[in-house]
Amino acid sequence: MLTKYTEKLNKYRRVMCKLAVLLLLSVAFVSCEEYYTPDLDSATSMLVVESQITNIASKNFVRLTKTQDFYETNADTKISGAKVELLETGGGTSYGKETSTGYFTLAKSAIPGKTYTLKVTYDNKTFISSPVVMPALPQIDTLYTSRSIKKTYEPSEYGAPKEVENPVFNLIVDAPISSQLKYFRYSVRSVLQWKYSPPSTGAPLPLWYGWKNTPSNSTFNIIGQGNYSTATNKIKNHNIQSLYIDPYQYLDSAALAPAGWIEIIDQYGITKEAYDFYSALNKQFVADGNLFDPVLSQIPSNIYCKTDASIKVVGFFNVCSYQGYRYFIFPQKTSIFQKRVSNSLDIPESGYLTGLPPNFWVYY
Amino acid sequence: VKKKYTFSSIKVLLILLFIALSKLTILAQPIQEIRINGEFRQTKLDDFFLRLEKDYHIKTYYRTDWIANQTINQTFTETPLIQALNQIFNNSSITFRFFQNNSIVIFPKGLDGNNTIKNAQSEVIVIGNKLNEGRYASAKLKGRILDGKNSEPLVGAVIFHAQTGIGVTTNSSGNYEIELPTGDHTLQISFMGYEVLNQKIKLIENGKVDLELFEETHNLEEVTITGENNKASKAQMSMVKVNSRIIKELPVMMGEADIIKSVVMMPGVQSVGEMSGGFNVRGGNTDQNLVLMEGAPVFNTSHLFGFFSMINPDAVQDVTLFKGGIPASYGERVSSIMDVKLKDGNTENIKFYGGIGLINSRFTLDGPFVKKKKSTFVIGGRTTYSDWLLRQTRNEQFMNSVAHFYDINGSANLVLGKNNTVKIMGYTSEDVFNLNSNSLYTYGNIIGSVNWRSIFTKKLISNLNLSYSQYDSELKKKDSDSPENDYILHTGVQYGSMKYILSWLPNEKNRVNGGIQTIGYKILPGKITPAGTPTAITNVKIPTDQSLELGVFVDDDIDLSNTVAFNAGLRYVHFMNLGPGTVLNYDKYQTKSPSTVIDSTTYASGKIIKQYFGIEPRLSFKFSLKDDGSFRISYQRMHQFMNQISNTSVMSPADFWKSADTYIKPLISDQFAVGLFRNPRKGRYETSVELYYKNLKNLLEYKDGAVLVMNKHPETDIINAKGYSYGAELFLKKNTGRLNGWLSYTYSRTFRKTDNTRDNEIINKKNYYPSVYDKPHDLSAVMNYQISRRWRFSGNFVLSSGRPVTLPEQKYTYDGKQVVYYSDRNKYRMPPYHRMDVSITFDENLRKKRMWKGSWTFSVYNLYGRKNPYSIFYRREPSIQTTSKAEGAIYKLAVIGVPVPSITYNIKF
Repeated sequence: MLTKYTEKLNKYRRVMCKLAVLLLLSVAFVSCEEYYTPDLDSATSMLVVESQITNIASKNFVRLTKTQDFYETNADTKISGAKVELLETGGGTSYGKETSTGYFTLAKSAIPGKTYTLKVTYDNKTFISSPVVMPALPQIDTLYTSRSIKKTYEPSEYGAPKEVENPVFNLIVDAPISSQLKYFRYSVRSVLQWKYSPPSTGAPLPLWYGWKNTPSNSTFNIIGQGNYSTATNKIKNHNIQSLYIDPYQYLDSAALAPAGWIEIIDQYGITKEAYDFYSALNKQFVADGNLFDPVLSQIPSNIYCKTDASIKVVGFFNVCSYQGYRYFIFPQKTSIFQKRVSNSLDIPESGYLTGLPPNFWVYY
Repeated sequence: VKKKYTFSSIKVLLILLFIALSKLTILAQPIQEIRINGEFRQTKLDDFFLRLEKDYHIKTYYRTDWIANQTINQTFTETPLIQALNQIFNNSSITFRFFQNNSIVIFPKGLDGNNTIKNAQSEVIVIGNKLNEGRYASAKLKGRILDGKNSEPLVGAVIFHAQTGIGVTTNSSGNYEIELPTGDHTLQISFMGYEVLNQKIKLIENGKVDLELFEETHNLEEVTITGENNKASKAQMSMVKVNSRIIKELPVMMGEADIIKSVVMMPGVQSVGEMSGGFNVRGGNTDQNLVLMEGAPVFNTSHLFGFFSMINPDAVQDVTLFKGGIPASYGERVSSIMDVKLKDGNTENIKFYGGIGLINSRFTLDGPFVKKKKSTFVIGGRTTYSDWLLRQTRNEQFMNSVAHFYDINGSANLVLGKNNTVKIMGYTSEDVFNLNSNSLYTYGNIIGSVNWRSIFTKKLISNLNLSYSQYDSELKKKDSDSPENDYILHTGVQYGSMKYILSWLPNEKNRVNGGIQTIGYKILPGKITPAGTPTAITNVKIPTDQSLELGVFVDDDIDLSNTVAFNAGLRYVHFMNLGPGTVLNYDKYQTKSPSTVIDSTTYASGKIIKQYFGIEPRLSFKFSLKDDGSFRISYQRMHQFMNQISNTSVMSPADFWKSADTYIKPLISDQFAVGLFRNPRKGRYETSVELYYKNLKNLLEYKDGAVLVMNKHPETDIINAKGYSYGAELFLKKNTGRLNGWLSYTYSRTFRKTDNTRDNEIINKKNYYPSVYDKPHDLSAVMNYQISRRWRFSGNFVLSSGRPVTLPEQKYTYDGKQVVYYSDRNKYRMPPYHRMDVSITFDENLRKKRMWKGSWTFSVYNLYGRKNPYSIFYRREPSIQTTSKAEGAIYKLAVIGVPVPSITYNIKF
């Protein structure tokens, strides 16, 4: 009797399994995400303050714009004619110079350990930031490379997500931390050098020396002293850039010969408030509405309207210390060559020279 | 004419005799108990009656033509007179009645309108020895009401005796007990969706009868009588009761019956969202519901992030949800109490129930430890093969996902003599899942309880409940770029409780319950451990949080008159947050943050860090109206000392619990409710309208960008808020007929407000804003149609307002990247949610003697493929799954956007 039931159960199980696989294949396309345009209220524009004050005067700026309605398609509204002041506690005041509409430069270099306040006067209103202490100058203790596999998703022939694996190399840094500096932001510009030998039936034509930027990361690369980290005196093993080992992922033609990467690294020492600000921006950038996403929240700001507390301001007064580095990286079959190079020369976004390499060119 | 006259005269005589009988004092020895001796061989009845008169001084009245030529052939030895007469008149056309305790009246059957001659086609069940007929004035009838198809007990079936108006309902084991006058009766046995059984019985003495009901296949002139649940107060309102049959009949996702998805079809109860764990009652948060399984709380009620409920539906007897008017014996949560009763197990023989579904299977075994003895057991379990199936899809995203669970439940119902029953229950479960992400969730419950019911006297009953519940969660975060940063986040809670209730029933109109409850909590808010070697992660642990809650309660359920019932209860609660612990003291003029700490206070183990007291009045009135209706009103105050800390709109397995402490005050709710209840057409329909208003103090809200995980001092990110909810609930249910089901509509609103004045603690400019669970309109319709005895169709339709959401209203550029500025909190609303599910069930064989009983259920979830939004969010870059794309736009994600068919095979043997 029991055997009979077992046979019956097995028979049903086989049928159910076949049905289940069929069902799951269809359920693979069940969840869907659609572009959605709900009716949104029109709101009063707010002042947007984007600012950066560093120990390098040429990197200092304040950009003033206005917020727009979400469905607005025109470019940002820039604010002209504002008065921008940088106040140093116990020091003087430097004034912003409007070099283009809404864009102000500041000639003063900030000093680590000093406290600064930003004051913007516009439309008979005064906007002022919280005082910010400039962190200590950052350093890169060690920079090294590693290899790993990066998984990405592409639509399959059926439109379903299909996982693709690509070997990449990573730029990893260790950075010391102190009581005056616990948080960092990295901005890495990767310039791929290439050479091209034009085809010739006669005498060889001059070689082309070209370069191009790779797309920048979509989020801010920030790191702080981890709550759960064993290391108390340094940030360890922090990945600041990942690039495909196969350079042809970036080059437009197989006729171009890759000639290594110039990695231009901007290291900023930032405050805890700035870390939280960038962290909030990153959360907004990567939000995908999936399971257990936190409730959406506003990006914090450290600027307020002094003349009318009900007026909201967005943006951030960012006082950060800066250090720049430049490395040459050349991935090989089994190893990755690296060397530190001078970071004094400007590199345009892309271009090429014929016959002679540009002055920033780095040879392997 | 003479005969008619004679018969009429006798009727009058009999009536007079019966009236007289009722007023007479009973003599020391009832006439029917007089012992008769003698051998009567071919003795004429006349002679026998003369002998009675001579030897026992019993006179007999009769017409000679009725007994002409009748003889008896009996021998009596100390035989009670009643038995002697029954022997004589059995199968005779005449019968008898006693008169004035010293006489007997003889007359033809049918003249008293009571002792009628049976219709040959009626099946009459005789309870007791025929010889004792008439010996007792009344008798107790006991037994069980069973589903004729599968012999499962029917809980809440009504047994009604129309002549006396006595009605009882079956208890959680399907047992009933009714006391009736002896004699011939017709009992009406009814249960929703089943054919009403009009069972004729001849009740002679105490006895036991099991009766079977079959699902309805014909339109009959049924009479359904609804009875009061004997556990709930007669004045109880705002209560939903769902039995196992209803749970199993609703069409569900993947064919798996689900207690929570059944309950959310009731008025005032709402689903959080598609495929989400938990539920919302009258606008309350999901953590404001206490789900009890045999008295022990279940901290996470869902498997596979909300696909299924934690509790095996085969093991469930019934589910009772209190939304308001909560009895004083319950506390702990402010929104609702869901009391899940598991089956006791049948006493006849061991039975196997099971089901094979598309992604999971289940089994349950129940029966007596010893055949036909009262002590029983139930053991069951479920598991899934979704991991294996995910791999079969050949879809890389699914192949890298993990999703499996199991649960095992068991109980033993031990009957210790006549007056003691002990029920021991155990449950364990584990879930593991990740959906192609770097976060692997593992969580599980361990639950146990012992319930000891002791009957001291018929009027004094005690219930002791000991329960333990443990919930543990692990979140393994993998960092593919640097595996040395992989870590595991552990959170958990342990709960132990002792509850003792003494019930005193001084009379039928009064029931007093009193008791005490002590609860101990131990919470692990968070612990980080390395997930690999080598590691850059160090062990970090947030100190455990211990506390003790005491409750003392008493309530009295009184029938003030035939039309007014009243229940008054009081619960005193005392909560203590205990050391060891360190409390940071903040500058009271500034926002709480690490930078505003002034100093700290350290408490030793067992020392009271903070304590709270509270009195919780519970009042309910019922005013009965004509035609089986009633008007009810209730008030309750509840305290909640435990909150689930989460700033996600959907409950996550890794969300941790936090008890009230120095800064987090207990949540207090006051609720008023009024309701009108009618059961028209003799109970064929149930209708109700309820209105409620709820006021809430000390709700938890979170600051923008709050960091809650591994936060050693969550008070720095938490804001105390207040709120209120109100609503109206309409309910219409058809209990009987081939077509039955219900329609429920709820209008409800729920709002929050913070009064804080500090800048980062202000939400929505200190104005009221809708809670994330504010869904004004909610309509549910459930329909069951019995096509034939073997085919059944079920369908349900739900329609509700969309959940409030916060959407971007403005945008700007920062560092070349588009950033959005969100609206006031919950200012906008998702599109309405609506869905229709259908199922059809085919029973293979209904023959009672057939051992293997199977049924197929074909169901379609989301029949018309509505893309109900699970979330609406801003995304800078469209994902590859997006069907229509735009940069920096708002997207709508639907989890289930197509019809999902499923098939389940259920077995029983």
